[in-house]
Amino acid sequence: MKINYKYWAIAIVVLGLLLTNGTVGKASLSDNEEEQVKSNIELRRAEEQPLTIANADIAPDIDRIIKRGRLIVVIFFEDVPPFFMHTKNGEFTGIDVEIARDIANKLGVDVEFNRSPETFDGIVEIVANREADIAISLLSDTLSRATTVRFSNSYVELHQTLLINRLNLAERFPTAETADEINSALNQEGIKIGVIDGTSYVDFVKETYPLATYVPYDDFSTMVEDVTNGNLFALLYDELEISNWKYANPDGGLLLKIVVLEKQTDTIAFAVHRDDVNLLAWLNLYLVKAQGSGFLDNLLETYLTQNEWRNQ
Amino acid sequence: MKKILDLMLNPWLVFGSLIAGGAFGWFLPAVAVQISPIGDLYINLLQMSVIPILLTAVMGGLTRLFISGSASNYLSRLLFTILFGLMIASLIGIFVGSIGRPGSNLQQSSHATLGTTISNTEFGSSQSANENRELGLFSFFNTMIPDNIFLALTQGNRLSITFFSIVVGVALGSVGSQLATPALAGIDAFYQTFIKITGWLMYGLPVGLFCLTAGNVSGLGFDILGAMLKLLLFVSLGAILHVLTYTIIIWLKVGGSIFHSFSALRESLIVALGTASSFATIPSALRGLKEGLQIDKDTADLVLPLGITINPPGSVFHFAISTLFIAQLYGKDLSIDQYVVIFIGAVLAGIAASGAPGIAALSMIGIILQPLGLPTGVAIILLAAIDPIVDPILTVVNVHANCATTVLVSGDRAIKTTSTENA
Repeated sequence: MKINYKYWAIAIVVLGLLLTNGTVGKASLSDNEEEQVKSNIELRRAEEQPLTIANADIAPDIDRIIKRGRLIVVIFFEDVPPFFMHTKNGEFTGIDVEIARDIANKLGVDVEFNRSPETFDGIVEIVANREADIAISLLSDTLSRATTVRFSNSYVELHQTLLINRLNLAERFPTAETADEINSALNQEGIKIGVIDGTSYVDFVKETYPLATYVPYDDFSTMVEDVTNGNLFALLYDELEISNWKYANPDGGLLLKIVVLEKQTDTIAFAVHRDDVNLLAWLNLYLVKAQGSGFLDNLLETYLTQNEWRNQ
Repeated sequence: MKKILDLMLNPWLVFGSLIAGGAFGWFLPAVAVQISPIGDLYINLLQMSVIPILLTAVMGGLTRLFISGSASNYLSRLLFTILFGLMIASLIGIFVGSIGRPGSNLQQSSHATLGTTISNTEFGSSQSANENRELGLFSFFNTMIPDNIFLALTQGNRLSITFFSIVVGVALGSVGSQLATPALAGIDAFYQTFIKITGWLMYGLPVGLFCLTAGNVSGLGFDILGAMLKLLLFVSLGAILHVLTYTIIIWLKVGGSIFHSFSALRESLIVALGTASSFATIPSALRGLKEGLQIDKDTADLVLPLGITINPPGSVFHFAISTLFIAQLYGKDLSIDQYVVIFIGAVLAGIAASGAPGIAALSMIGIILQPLGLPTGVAIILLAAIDPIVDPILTVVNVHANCATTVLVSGDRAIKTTSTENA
């Protein structure tokens, strides 16, 4: 029972310290300042107006956006469903588009989309040249890109995916069944693997299949055609593009085998100018909150797991 | 009461319940799912006695054979008949597949259905497909020899059990008739007991088959069946060709009317079609052979269970025609030596598949497809999709083939008995 008294004593002392501290802290604020804090809290609650901390400077890289009243978001020039695409009614939507709108809303500004870049490396250039505030465009956070811009934490993780000519595979590697077996089979001289030029997949192919030959392509459908007719052994791309292809070409599964490389992830993140450190910190905090509120999970569930959006 | 029991054994009622169950599953799939557990219960009851029957029949049969001293002559005839039958089945598969071309000129919508089925199956199981599939004859021998017979018995590994029964039967036949005769009497008593049990179960056949087929039909995916309709059609056609051939063989050997040769075994054909389990069909096939066709009891008890285990002409035929289907699907022209690969490969794959359960049996098609450079994964997915329809048909072929084998191998005694009866 002695021990119990000891704990009680400690608890009472701690409680007492906390109480006095609180009073001391409160007393140190002058009446005027206290009112100011109160009114600020009331203001935020009443108008839900974000980012107005009176008597404090707003970080210049964020202030620039607020003063302009517009957040400029750069997105790849072609639609890549379900990240950025148009519905049948012409409405611009998708995971990245909805995140961009949500960020602009939280900053209390409008959103403007810059859709000029025709390669994914081009998106990075636009941000590096300050022609846009932020890239939200299915952008992989590769090490080489990170030498010019800053990346946020990643908000979605995709897997590298192979599309392989079934007959070539069965003829050359009849016993290769699992993803690992196929992966090691592809790393051989004379195997041609297609990849879209200017994407992070050029690096991925060089890294994963150093012995194979990589063939750069400008568009996906020509590349798929070359795998189908056997000019290429396989192609490497992200699981989205390949699952879009699967829905558009249901008969394709007969000739081409989809292999999702679960171990080879492709992390997608926002990019900002390398000097915009405060904006980046703000975006990382935004991502933590978007994850906590379920906003991000809902978005990914709607667009990546379910397929109803394909009918819209 | 007796009348009701007799009615339950009426083959027309049994056949009718099979058809009615199929129709029920087609039109009322939701209710059919509810009653299908009764069908599962029934098939469990049927299979309950299968392993003891297999064990006692093969042991007893071989012991008797060795005591009488006619074993070597008899066994070589059995092996020759089985091998010849499997080669014929392989040829029929190649023939029907080449003439019918089940994989050529499919509609675009069929290609789309096949493609979607394949990619969805692969996409969903990209990681779980890591199971180790061993192919070839070595794995066949590996599963055949048990390291622990009691483990094989509890796991229901039929190939190991058959192998063990053969060894015990040969050994028991070699220890001298003084020792073997009492043991043989014991084995026979148990054998008759289990046959009696399955005989009682035949009274439940109409109800059991109704629930079983209703459940099976309700679970079918109609898109994929439509896309592979041509293959299904030619598999059925080939199966009918097989059953006709076997019936003629039985008729030539037994004599009498050809209709009698068929109708004596009709119950086993219906059970095979309804249960898709050739082992569950053993008791009714034995009854048909012994009572309907007056086949020598000792031969039937030994050859039929043995044949059901190691002689699957239905599977050989299926592998041969399915290989042609896949080759045609991928527009691959086959050379003469590739046809030889299919001919031999189908026999080997069929034998290897007899030791493997379920989908693992289908994966043995890799034995043929891998040397041809055709995608095995695709074949397994597509064949598994139509397996609920194909499996019962092949079971009928396998059971009937082994009835014919039994008749062929049985001594001349069978013919004498039948002819005296007819006279």
